[in-house]
Amino acid sequence: MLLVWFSTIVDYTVARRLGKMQDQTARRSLLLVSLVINLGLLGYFKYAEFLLGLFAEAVSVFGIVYQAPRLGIILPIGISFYTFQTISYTIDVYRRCMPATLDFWDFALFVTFFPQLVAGPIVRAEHFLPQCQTPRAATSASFSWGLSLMIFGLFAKIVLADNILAPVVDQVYANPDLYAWVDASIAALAFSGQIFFDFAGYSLCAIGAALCLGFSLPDNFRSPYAALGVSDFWRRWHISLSSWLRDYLYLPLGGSRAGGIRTSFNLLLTMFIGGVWHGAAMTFIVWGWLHGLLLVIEHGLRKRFKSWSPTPLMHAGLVILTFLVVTLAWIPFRAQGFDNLAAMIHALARANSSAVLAGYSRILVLLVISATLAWHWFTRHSTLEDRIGALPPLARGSLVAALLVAVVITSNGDSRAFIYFQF
Amino acid sequence: MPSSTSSSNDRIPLTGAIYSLIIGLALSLVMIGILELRMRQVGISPDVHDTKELWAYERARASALGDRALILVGDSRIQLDVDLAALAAETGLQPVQLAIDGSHYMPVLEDLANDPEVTGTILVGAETWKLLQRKERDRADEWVSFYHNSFRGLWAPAVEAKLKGWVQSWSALYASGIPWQRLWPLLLNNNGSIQQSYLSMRPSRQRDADYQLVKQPDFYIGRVLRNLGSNVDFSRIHTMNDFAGEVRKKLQESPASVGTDPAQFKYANALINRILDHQGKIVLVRMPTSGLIWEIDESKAPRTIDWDRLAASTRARTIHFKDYATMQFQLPDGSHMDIRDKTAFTVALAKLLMNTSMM
Repeated sequence: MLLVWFSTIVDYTVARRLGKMQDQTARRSLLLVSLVINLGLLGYFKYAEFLLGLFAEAVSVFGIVYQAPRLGIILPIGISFYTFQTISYTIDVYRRCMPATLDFWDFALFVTFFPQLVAGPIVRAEHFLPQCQTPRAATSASFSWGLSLMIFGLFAKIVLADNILAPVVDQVYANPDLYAWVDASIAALAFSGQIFFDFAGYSLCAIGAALCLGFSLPDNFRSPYAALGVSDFWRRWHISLSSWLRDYLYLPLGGSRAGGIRTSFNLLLTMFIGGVWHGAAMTFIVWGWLHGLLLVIEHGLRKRFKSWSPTPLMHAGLVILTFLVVTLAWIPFRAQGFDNLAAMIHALARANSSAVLAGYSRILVLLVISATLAWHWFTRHSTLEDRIGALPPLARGSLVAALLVAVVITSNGDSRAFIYFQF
Repeated sequence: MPSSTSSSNDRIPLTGAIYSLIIGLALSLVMIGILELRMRQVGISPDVHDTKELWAYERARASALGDRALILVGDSRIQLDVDLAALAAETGLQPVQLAIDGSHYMPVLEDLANDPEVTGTILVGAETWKLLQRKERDRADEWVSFYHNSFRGLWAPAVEAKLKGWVQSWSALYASGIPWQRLWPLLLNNNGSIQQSYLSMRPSRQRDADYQLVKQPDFYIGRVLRNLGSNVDFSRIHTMNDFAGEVRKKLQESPASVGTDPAQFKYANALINRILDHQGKIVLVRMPTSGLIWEIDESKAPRTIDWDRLAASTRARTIHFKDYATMQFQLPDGSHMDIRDKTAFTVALAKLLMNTSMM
């Protein structure tokens, strides 16, 4: 609590001053102060133990024994999310893209707005602060749709992610040595679905809760598994983070304007930061770099085949290929360390196994993933509102009822936290 | 994606959001109602889950109620034997059920002793061997830690625990805990009622045992063998008398108990003294057992060299059920009260506590 207030006060004050000051050097220094404070706090709370561990391993190469102290740091709730929000606000004011807000309580609400504080979406000040300038009234329509979105989100999280997909993922990842390629592949596919439904489910709940209060939050996902290529995937997946990385890191680094090698470096660095943002573990860094590498390859291919236009069938094939590549890249993201990652990779290449998944689990995972791909394909150019809005009220009501009943039936077991709560 | 001009209306489907939600909620209520009825038809009843959250809720009450609290500590016996409503009516105090089924309760006693806000009366369903030592990593340890680290002073988990318990107490669908994969075959293909559990729990953590729902004498025999700690040769057993004879023979073959050295109660007595020192009251109650279970108890820890030594060494008031005619009950499994007897037993216990000025 104290941290989030500290961050709020620092960025409110810095932005107010940035808004008034004209001297560019002084403004840059002030921006630097904000960045150092915000990133310093994030770095300490999220990465201090990890970096000390890395340091201990590095010096051990030279025969120096260094026992990294256990700092016992507890990761403050939502620090990764609100830190990026406040940084984006300060940078926007610095760039004079928006004026500094004069109302401290509006700004405090922007930073601590509870529906998205814990796990996003990472809201931009230019999107949120204008909403604070008029009293927000939740109309019956916004309240009803907000509640409906929360039901959709709970269905995605509780029924699909937790009850159908997570048990398969947990079972195989707990001991990959026991499984062969069929089940390892199914677990990899299941995790693609689990992380989507877990995180997209939370985002829908956050958007729905905000709507119940009369606020609009941006979409965080737009049919990501219908992406044509990895760059398209990142325009559709965790949009609030990917657009943040694009606007405040990739483009300031030069984006794709500065030649092939520099562009590749920019992509790799951006995705490295994207990986590190998810957590202090080497597996996240591998995941980030893997995506960086895929983006570099895709960038090269796009330049080479600029005039190529795929047929609809090829288009569908490329979408499936993108999904499979992204699915493989999720393996390090889910793995509990490099041993677990290596065991999963071995399992993907193993012909025989001593254990098998239950038949119905395999079928359910394949059904859910196929349905997800089909849903994403058909909604790749539209929003949830467009699709649901096209249904008559009775059909919509029946859908809400079916999802709610499924949530009630499956919610009597143990509960799992949202995956993105840990970030 | 909505524009940054920030109208929340751009997120809403054009027409009928409220109608579709009302239709959805009404339909889901009907569907849930049908499922609930079907579950009860096949014999699945609402039942509250005994969780650390619900325990922590009661633990918080133990502190908050001050000297109006009548706190029950122990294991399954005191949790199954005592009717909280009857206890409240007889004593005028507010019962708080902190017993944990199958646990060593010393961590709970330790926690209460260390909390100066606990100034009520503590009723311990005491078995002497559980007062001798503090078993580490018991479920009681975990629940006490949970209370202090994740529950105390927070209103959200308290509301959630109470709400969950309340919904579980009336919804078989929510309370059954049956995985959804197994639920459908059960509801669609059941040819008759499923065997209902003989145990049920209420939101107050009171547990009830209905022994008419168990197969006797198998259940009793199972309990006796568990307490005996060894098996008997069933090829020679044709009647319950034969079984009793075999059990007694085993007891005679086992080495005689040397009793308990009063010094072994030192730690328990230190906790008791701490409770008394911060204005709390504490009564140790030897809960009833009957039949072969009592014989096994007496063989393993004869009262004269076990319970009586505890009673002589402690500042706590003590009650042994054998000393009072009103506390003699024939227990269906020899160890716990049937739901039909618990009110009578509770009234007898409460009257004893009141009449002997133990509270």
